[in-house]
Amino acid sequence: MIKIINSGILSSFQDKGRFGQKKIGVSKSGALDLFSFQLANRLSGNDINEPCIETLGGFSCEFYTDLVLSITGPSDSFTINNNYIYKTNSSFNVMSGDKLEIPFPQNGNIFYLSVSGGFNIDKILGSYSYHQPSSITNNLRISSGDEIHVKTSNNKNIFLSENSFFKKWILNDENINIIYDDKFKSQNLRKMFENKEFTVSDQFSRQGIRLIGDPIDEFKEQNEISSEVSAGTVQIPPDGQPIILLNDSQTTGGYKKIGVIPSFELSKISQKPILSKIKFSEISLSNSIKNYREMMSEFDNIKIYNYTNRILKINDRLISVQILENNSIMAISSNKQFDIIEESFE
Amino acid sequence: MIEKFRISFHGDCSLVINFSENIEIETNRILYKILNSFESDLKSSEFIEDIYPTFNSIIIDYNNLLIDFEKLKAFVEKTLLELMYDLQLHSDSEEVIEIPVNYGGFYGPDLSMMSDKLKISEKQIVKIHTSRTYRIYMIGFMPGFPYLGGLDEKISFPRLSTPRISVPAGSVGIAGIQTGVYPFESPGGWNIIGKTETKLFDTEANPPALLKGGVNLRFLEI
Repeated sequence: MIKIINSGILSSFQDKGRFGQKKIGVSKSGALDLFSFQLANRLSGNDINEPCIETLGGFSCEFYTDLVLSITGPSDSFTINNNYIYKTNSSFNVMSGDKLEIPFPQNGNIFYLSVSGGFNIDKILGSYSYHQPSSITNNLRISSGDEIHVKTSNNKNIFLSENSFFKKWILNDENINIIYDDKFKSQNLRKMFENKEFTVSDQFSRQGIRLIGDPIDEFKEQNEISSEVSAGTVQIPPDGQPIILLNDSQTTGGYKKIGVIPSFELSKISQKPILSKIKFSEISLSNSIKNYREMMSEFDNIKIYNYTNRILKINDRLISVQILENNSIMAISSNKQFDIIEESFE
Repeated sequence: MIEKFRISFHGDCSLVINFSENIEIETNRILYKILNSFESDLKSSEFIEDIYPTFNSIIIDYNNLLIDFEKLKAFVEKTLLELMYDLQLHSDSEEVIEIPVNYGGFYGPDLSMMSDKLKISEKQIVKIHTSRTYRIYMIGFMPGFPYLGGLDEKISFPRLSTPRISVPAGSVGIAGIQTGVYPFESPGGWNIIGKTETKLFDTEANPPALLKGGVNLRFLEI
C-alpha cells in the first residue's frame, strides 16, 4: 500500500485515454506526455499502457510495502527519506517505511510515477484516466491521505534510460508546429500568427494552456457554431489570446479555431514550462505524420540500462552514483541542496 | 436530400465529414442516419478511435500510425456514396425522452426576472417551454449535455452578463434561442428557469448518458 502524504498539483491516475465516448460528451483524457508515461511503465517492467500517477509536482508519499518504482519526465532529481537521490527516467527500489518526495519540476511540467505490477484501481467508462472537468471520475483523482493498493510483482530489476530522446523531441526549442485547418486560409493571417511570440501562462490545466502575447485582433467579432475540438486544437477567443486545448478539453467548442498541434508535439507543448516562450510554424499533415513515425521508432529504441545505485558520503555531502552493468558510470547526482554535478558520462 | 459533403481534417488524427455550414434539422437527421450505419461498419476497425457528430458534421478520430488520412478519406468517400444511395428518409418515429422539471422559485432563480423583462407571466413561460418537443442535435460541452434546437423565440433570452460561478446539476436554462439542462454542477451563463431531479449521467448505468444525439426531448412541469 502507498499512502499519499501530499497530493501536490493536479495529481491523478492516467492511462493512454478513454476512447469511443465523445458522442456522450466525454473527451479522451489520458497522459498529457504519452512518451514519459510509457517510459515509466517500461522502466518498472509493466505493460506500456498500465495506469500511472501523473503529477505536476509537490507530491509526497509513504510506502507500506517493498516495491520497484519509476519516475519519468523532465530531468530532475528527487529524494527518498530526504537523502537517497534519484534522477528522473530511472527505476529504483523502495522499502516499507520509505518516504518519497517529488519536487516541482524545473525543466518541464509533468512527472509520471509507475510501480512494478501496477496500481490496484478500477476503470471508469473503460479507462483509468481522471477527467478533470466533470465529477464522473473523481475516484481516479489523487488526494492527500489516499491509500492506494498495488498489485504484487516479483520484479526486482532497476533500470535507467538515456535522455537523448527527450532532449531531441520534447525538451528542445521554442518552436511549436501547427497543422492549419483548411478554413483558416489567409496566408497573411497565417504569417501574422507565426510572427508573434507567445508566453505560456500559469493558466495551465489538463483542459488547456492559455498563451499570452500581442493580441490577435482579427477575431474580435465571432459567432461560431459549436464544433469539434480535440487535444492540440488552437483556439482564438475574442480577446485575441490563444488557447491550446489539451486532453481533458470539451468535446465541442464555440471559439474560433485555426488549427491543431500535431501528435508528435503534444508531449512537447504539455512539458513547456510556465513563462517559457513559444513561436508557431506551419507543418503539413504528411510531414507531421512522418515526424511522428520517426519519433515512435526512436522511442522504441531508447537504450535502457540495468544499474545499481551507490550512495557515497564525502565531506558530509551525499553523492548518488549510478553504476551500469559493465561498470561504467552513467550519472552522479549530489544531495538536493547542491546542483547535479554531472549530467551523464560514460 | 443531401448530395454534397466535404471531407477535411482537423489536425493529424481527426477526419471531418461536413454536410453544411449551418444548423438545419434535415441535415442533422440525415447525419445521425449515416452515423448509425457508419458506427456498425467502422467501430470494430482497429484504426478508429472514436466517431461522433456535431450539428452538421461527423468526426472520425483515427490512429494515425495505423492508417493514412488519404486512405481513410477514400474509404469514407466510397462508403458514404453507397450509403447515401440507399438512405431511406421516410418518416422516422423518433424517440422522445421526457424530463420532469420543477420550474421557478428556488429551482429556477431567473424565471421571475425573465418574466418581468419579457412581460410574459411565469406560468406562460413554463407553458411555452413545456409545449415544444426539442431535437437533441448533439451532446457536447460536458458529459451528457444536450444542444437542443426548437426553442420558441418568444421566450429566447440573452445570456447573463456575468456567468454564475456555480450552477447546480440538473438546472434547466435558456441562452439566446437555445435551451438545455446541465448534467453536472458547473460555472454557467445561462438563465436558470428550473431544475430536474432526473440523473442525466451515471457511469454505472448502461448507457451512462440518459440523453443522446438524434432523439427528441420534452420538459414536463412537475
